[in-house]
Amino acid sequence: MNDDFLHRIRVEPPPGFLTRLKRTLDRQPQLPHVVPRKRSVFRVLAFGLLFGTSAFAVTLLTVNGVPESAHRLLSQLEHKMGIGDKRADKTFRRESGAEQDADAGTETNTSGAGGFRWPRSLVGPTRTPAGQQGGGQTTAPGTSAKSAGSNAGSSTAASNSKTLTEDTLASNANRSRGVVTVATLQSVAPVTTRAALSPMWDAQIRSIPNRDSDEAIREFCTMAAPDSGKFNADMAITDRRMTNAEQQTCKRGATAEIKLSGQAVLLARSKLYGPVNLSIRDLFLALAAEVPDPDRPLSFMPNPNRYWSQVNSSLEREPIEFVGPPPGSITAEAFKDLLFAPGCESLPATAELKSQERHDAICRTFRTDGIYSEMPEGASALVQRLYANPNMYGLVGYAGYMKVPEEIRLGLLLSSLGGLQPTNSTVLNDAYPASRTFYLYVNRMRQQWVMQSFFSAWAWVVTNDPEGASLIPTSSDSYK
Amino acid sequence: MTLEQAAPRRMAGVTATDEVDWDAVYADQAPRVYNYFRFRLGRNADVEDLTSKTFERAWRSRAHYRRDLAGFSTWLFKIAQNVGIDYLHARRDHLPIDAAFEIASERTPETDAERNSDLARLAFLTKDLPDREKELIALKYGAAVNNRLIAQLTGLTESNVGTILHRVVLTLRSRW
Repeated sequence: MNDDFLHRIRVEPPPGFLTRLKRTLDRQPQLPHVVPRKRSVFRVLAFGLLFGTSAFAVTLLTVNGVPESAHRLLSQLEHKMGIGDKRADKTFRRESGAEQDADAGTETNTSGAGGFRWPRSLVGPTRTPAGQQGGGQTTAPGTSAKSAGSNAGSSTAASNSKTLTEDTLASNANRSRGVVTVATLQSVAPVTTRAALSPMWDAQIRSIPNRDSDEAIREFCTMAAPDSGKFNADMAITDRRMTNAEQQTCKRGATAEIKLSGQAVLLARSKLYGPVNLSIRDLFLALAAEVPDPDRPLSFMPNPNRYWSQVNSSLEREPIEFVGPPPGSITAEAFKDLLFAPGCESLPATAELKSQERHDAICRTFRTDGIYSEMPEGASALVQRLYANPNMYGLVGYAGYMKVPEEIRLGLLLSSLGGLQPTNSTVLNDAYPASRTFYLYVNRMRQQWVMQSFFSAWAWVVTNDPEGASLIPTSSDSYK
Repeated sequence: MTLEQAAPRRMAGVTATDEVDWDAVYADQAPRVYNYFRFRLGRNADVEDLTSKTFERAWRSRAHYRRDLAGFSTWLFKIAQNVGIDYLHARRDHLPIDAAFEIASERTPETDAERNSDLARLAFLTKDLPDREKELIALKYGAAVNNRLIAQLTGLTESNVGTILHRVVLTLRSRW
């Protein structure tokens, strides 16, 4: 780079100037030299020790959490400062939310479709910390609102049924209506619980799960004590209509009947393998944990069937593959009620079963050897699984299936039972064999508000809550 | 020997120990600081004052100079830069309107000759350049320091310094 023209500009300073400046500088006093302070070994060690101790403490807190003694100390301090109550309330809310999330995502349930979240204010009074009374709440002995809250979100109806029998379920802030007892079905007990927590309902509900509609109606129509005038249940939920004989024998007199919702289960398969031609007996023999032993007619053995040809000689020799929701889910329970158990009971060997527990173990238990693959309820993922495995059968709830985009549904074939395809009308009219309708029975004269409020709450759950996603809403003009 | 080749001599007077031969430093650095201000201001006026101010500041606080923190040239030219910045900020760019007549009457054959000198031409050509480019020219050709030291003084990277200087020099030469 030719930059000589710039170098040429540089000149030497005038000698006189340099001399004068040097003389000036020589006369100038020099500031005292300040020796920078050296870091002493002791100080370095002290800082290192302090830093190391802090890091160790933070690590311990991270791993083990804040010790209980520290919690107590903080509580005492805050109590003295007058802010303890607020903090305790916040702490409890946080803990209860964590517990519920850990249990089943009850109160802040975002696991289901739509990411539904309960309004916190509606369930506040029932979320009382242990050891504190719930502000006048009437609870059954030995029960707590927290357990009811956690049970409310359980996805398994079977597990719920055990605890809900004795629990007084949580309800909304306004409990002026008192306690309402409902004789419900095990399979829809979670929906009943969610209805009690919905914003449409303003009373407490005591839920009595029943195995079937017969038991539920019996609870509804039976007095707690002879001639006491008090009945075991204020209302009943059934999956069939009350017969005329039951109406006449029921001591409640005039009752109101409401059609709550419909439910249907479907068997779906990829179109690549043609239509679904399975009987209920085939389904049972393919999915049951235990099947009748051919060599000993009245005894059962672990299910050895791995090919459809072993179940029914008219079927192809194809591996049995099923995918569906977890066995305790509402859809799976409906499948057991509507198809699986009837298939079981059609076998001569099961007629000899005397014990109810043994009956359930045979007729309501899926095999666990990998033939039945569990998937979370929600038809989208299940349908994708069926696309990926054309040989596989899928157990799908009708309501969830109808939410799948139509272009995806077109790739599947549905089970046609009794010559009927599942549609809204065939399901709600109980025409489709694998469908049922839930009814609510209430004393018409005594508790009109119960009927209206509970119907609204149920409809709200069916529309907005993942627990009710497998149910089909009905129109509001279904009063009879 | 060009100034670039002479750059290692820049540290003359600074021995390997902490002892500094300030006389040698002065003899080596004074012409550099002087020319730095000439290039930076584009004229000879005030250059001696600014050079004096720089060295006075440096000498007054030379006890604080620490070799482990910066080279001597870096330290000295940082002082020079601050002195120059203070001067440029304090300078009145616009004289009162009454002074305009005096300025017009100041034109003499000597001033014309000075205006036509190389330094005046450089000032004229660089008057529209950004301060950063002016600073680089002053450091490179006035103070005769290398690009590495310029980079330390200006906060630019060494390659960036070289690129900017190359571009500016090409422009100046084309218009020289």
